[in-house]
Amino acid sequence: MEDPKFKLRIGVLAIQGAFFEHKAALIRASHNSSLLKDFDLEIRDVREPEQLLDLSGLILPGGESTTMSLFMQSSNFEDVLKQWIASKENPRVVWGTCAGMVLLSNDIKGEKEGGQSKIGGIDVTTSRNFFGRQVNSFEAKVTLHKKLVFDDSNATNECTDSADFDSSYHGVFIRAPAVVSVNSPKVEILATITLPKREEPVIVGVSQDNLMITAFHPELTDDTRWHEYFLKQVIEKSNFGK
Amino acid sequence: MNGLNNGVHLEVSNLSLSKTKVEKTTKDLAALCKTGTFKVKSGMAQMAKGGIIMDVTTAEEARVAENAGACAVMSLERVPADIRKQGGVARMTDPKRTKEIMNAVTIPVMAKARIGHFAEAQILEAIGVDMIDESEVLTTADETNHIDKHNFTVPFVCGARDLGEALRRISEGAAMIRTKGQAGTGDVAEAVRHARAIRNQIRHAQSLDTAELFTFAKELRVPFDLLQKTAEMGRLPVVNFAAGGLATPADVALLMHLGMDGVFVGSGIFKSENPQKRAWAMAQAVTHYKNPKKLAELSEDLGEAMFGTPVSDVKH
Repeated sequence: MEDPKFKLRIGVLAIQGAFFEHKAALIRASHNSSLLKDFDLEIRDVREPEQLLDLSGLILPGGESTTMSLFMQSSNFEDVLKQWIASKENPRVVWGTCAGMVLLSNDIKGEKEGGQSKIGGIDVTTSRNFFGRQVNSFEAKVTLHKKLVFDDSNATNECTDSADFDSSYHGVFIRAPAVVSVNSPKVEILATITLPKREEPVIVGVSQDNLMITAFHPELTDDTRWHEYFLKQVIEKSNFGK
Repeated sequence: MNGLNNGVHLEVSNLSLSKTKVEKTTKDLAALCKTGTFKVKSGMAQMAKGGIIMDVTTAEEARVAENAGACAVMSLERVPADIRKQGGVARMTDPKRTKEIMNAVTIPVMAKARIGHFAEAQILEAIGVDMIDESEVLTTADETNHIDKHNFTVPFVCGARDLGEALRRISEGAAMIRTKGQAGTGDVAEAVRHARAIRNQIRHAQSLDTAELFTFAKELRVPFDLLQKTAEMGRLPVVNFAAGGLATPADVALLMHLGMDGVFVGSGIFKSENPQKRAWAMAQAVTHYKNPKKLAELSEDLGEAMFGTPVSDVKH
């Protein structure tokens, strides 16, 4: 019998950084969720531009944005990736965490001397290493502004509480960036954090169209809600199976 | 710094592929905003994976390293090849020099402290370096004890020749391990020996039953829990880099194939004829280590590599 399942191909940019951790988290998310019951998940390392073509979604992991952008600049990777993201007939979903967030922001503060190239697409100003150096890296409660995971009536979903959605999320921030200004009404705020010394909450997760960014590292925790949310976006927005 | 006493092995579990219990987000998280946890320390090392960390002695060299694609730089006063040649006591770099390097680049800056010299480590933490290498490349300050690394907010990387050494360093709080290799020689043989030793011992641990594993933990002089965790994961529970004697893109690829998460390069770059080009080629080699065609292109026309001293000629 022919396999009735659609192939869902997700890539993780594997130039440098915590790409293995994202792959492992995607697998954990696929176990925790019924989202993928009609799909056959394939996860791929992306090191060459050709590897992008048949993917429906891509994660730009944490690592060093300087390193990643230099590598992409040196080949035609950056142009191919921009075109791949912009494709109208094949909408793709891209998620950047930490360094990946810097790459997807239209405006960057604190970039390296001489500037650094970026992919862009989200109309925000992002400050690199907003919270400081490694000694200032921290774990803290993040407030979610959107329900990430929807309970499936006949599945046991450990992540979702019965009535209201659980807006609390444990974030791991490592030399993390933050959004310092939102420059378009199209940008939706997904997550903020309130720090002891600041009155205003700091924006640490947003989305715009098919792109999303988070300043923290969901791939370093066991809570799979963000990866489930990403998979859900990919399924909803892409024309898979083509 | 708080919350570290619960045992390292619990906190590194995120490296494992196995599905663990999903953490319930509860109200007591509200009060939590902690720096220096083992999670953010080992996480810092995880962000360096698939990358190359280059030894630099000046802000200028640091910029060359950054532009070549290094994911971090290591500040030191003399590269290991010079320490080897000139002799004398090798100590922590002048903090002013390290601060200049920190101001010159956006990538993380690491610095070396002598083994057991926690006062040097405190100074490095005070100036805000991103990671400390408790390094045998410098002259050992304490012949008996290593630094208690749990006491620091800044993460540490330590050298290891075998599994026992690696797990002892992790139990002392190291957030990252590297092979010791034979720094400053340009000969990769020792790094290969150490990488293979760790791999072989992990495979051996995986073949043992629990009773035998207790005995093996005693032989290695390591905590049983940490050894058990390592056997379960089939790898060290923290990030593991290659270091010591790497001089060519092929050296980088060899060590990556042996299961290393990334590489350190010391004298190999700035002791070669064309540091810029070699740095770029070696950085690319970490990403493309599985692609021999690409490695061939990268290895072409790099100029003279560092002259080097075969490990077999080095007096121990």
